[in-house]
Amino acid sequence: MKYKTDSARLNTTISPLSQTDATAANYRKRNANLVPSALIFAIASGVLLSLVHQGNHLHLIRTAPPMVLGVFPLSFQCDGLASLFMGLLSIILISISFYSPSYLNHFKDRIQMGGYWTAMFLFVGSMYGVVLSADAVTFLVLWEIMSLSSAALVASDYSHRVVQKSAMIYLGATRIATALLCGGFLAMHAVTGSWSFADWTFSSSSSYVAGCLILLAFCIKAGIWPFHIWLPYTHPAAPSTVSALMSGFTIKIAIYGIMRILVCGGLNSPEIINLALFLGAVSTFWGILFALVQNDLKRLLAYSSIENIGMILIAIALGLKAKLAGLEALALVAFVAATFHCMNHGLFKSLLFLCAGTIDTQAHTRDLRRLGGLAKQMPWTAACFLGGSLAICSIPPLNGFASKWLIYQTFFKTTYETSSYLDRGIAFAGICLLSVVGGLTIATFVKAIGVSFLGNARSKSAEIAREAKLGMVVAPLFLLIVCVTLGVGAAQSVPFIAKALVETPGLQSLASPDQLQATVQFPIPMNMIALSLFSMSALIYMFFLKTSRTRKYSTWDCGFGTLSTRTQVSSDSFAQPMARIFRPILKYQAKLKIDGDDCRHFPEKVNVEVQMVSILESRIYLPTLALISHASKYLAKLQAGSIHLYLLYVCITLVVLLLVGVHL
Amino acid sequence: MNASNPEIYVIAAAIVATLMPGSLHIRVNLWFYGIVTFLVAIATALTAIGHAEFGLLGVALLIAVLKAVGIPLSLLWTSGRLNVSRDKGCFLPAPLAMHSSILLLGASFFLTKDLPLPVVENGGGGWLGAAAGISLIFTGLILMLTRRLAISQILGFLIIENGIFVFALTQTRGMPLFVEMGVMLDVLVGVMIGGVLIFKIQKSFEHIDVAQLTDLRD
Repeated sequence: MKYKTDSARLNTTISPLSQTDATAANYRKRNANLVPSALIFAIASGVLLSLVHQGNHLHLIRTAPPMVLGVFPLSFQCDGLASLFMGLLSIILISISFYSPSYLNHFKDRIQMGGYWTAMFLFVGSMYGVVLSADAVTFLVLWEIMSLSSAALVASDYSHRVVQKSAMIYLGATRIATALLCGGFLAMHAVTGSWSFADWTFSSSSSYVAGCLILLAFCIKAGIWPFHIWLPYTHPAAPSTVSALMSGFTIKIAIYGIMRILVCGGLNSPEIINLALFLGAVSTFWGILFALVQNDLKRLLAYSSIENIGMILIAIALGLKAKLAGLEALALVAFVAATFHCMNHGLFKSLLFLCAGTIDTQAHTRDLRRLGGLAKQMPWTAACFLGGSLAICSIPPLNGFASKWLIYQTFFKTTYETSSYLDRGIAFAGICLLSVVGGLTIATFVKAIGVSFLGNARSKSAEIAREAKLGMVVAPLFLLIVCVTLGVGAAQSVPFIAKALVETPGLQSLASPDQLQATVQFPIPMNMIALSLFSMSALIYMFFLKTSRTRKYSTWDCGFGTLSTRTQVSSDSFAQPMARIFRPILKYQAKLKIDGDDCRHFPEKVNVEVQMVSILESRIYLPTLALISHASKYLAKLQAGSIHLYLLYVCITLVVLLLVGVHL
Repeated sequence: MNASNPEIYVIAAAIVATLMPGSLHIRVNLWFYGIVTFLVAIATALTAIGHAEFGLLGVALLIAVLKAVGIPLSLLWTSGRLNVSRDKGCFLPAPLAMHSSILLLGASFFLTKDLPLPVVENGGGGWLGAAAGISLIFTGLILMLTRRLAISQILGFLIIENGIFVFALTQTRGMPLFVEMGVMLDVLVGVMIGGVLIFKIQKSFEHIDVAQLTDLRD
């Protein structure tokens, strides 16, 4: 008895101490993420405040000698276009700084936080730098830092094989993009003799090759078809903060690059413009089609990014076409539409990625086949995801509607303002494409919301999921508020963007923003639309959907017994009709196998197997890679390890060089 | 063709060097190397006197003492310690190697005749000197290609170095003295490191046959 009391006392004396130790360590671990997050918040809000304070005044900063690369001074410039993108980045960063501390706590055993934050700060700094850079060398250096640090961030959780593979694919894509960009920049330097973007014009045929190279490089970075394959690998592998930033802003930097270099440089090659239009159109359709059939929530969002980026590229191409045809006002509308959609997509896609991250951490899965019923347990996340989805489906009064409205306006205007009948036809086809894509977008996000948030949980882990911590709810909520504000205030935000664009050097030849109102149906009667939509919904709810008294009675259920969670509409079954229609592209195969003695009337076991292969990957990329690695095997034989053989190479090279020296 | 005095000596050096691949005896090769380097030293001295650059005379003296005598002696000592006197040869039999280096001597004259060379005033540099230099480089490469022992590799490398020196001497009338001294120091250090490495290789692999060192690739 005495012994017992002793041990009890011992326990009481020891346990508080060890507990405080544990909490202190825990607190320190949480603090480790709190401080850098606060720093990111400070940087982003500082930039945002200075942007608001300074307005769109033009600044060109050339750095003094200590801050040079070799003999080259770094030069930065902040103009209208740059400040718009900086503002977007700052807003996304603010929400990520809210989100990071609680989110990263879930990864504290899997991610090296020191490395993560180092790469994150490099990433953020280089993104600001890329947007601000005023010459090609500065741009390229910062672009490289951005690519490499983001690859490091993608590989944060590198113990998984999938993550390693994704990081390598992303790294490969960025290498090719940088190579093309280098080629384009060097060619432009050869043509113009200057590194400064301000001196670059793409209006002569000697600069078209460079323009094409630069366009392709940015297309790879933006994830335009057929260079998009890195996107659906990278986003699921990266932490959600990173994928939100990458999908929200990094791929927009490529669009920014196109605007800054090609559009401001006055690209006037019809072939390149048509190429951009074609690539954009295919990406839009391809992206949303593949998004619809995905089962991984983040993969779905990644494919939807491809769709939106394609749409932005289409708008830019239309703007260039209009400029070529001398329709300055139409060009302005198109560029405003592209920029505005860039902003909007950045906002709602980061929102959706953050929500996907919340679902991933709370339900421990992103697989739509295992989710379900989360709206009951995570109402705030559900509301934010719903808001983001409404925005991406361009439902008024959200911001997605405003920018898509402008894109549609551009298309409609093109159908009757251009003189070329080919362009009219293209624009008309574009309208049809846009409507199909709009429909598929709605289907995709109805599936995403319906399967993950409604119904009943399809797995144990989804059943026990709870609402996340405050920070992870506030972050998407903040973005949602910005989305709603931009949408409702479209009458103010659109002229603001137009003004910023017209103040950008290189775009000053565009029509004045005042002409915007005359050109498009504008201001968009956003408030009226919203009001009527809400009142309609309320009326429908009151008269048709209002639940009357619930009657409870048993009914004949064909002997099937009670309903289980597996009888709900699943992700696959929702996408099946569409997938069947487009099965040549998707390589969609569904195998249905019913077992039982009398399987026609009394099925005992039903087995459905759905198979899909990405045609581009299986038919083009994998064979190409196999070819390269096969060829490399032969090339590796050159490295025999024999000193004599190496000497022979040296000898042969010397003779060849001498011969070249003699005969050239 | 009007060859100046230094040019005659460097051509003589190139011709003597072509005989080196013909012998598998290390001692003979070292003798040949000494003669070649001594001829180069004489050419350097003549150039120095011809252009009244007496810094170059010092270089000639250094070459004669350190490279023509010192290096062969030290390599002779190394081969004595390692107990090797004869190379087994590889890739080409010795007579064929010698004939191919003679062919390359001819080829280098043929190649350099049309080579755009820097024009040096006072008739200092001509294509004959360049041809001798390039021929020496070829001979060195042939020597390295057709020998198995690490000592012979060092010897081949030294011949190449001689070739580069001859090329520089006849084309630019010698490099600045300090550069020359630096190069000389590099060669000496290279030979020393090479000697030490040969001992190391002998110790770890129990032979100094480079043809068998193929496992070192990744």
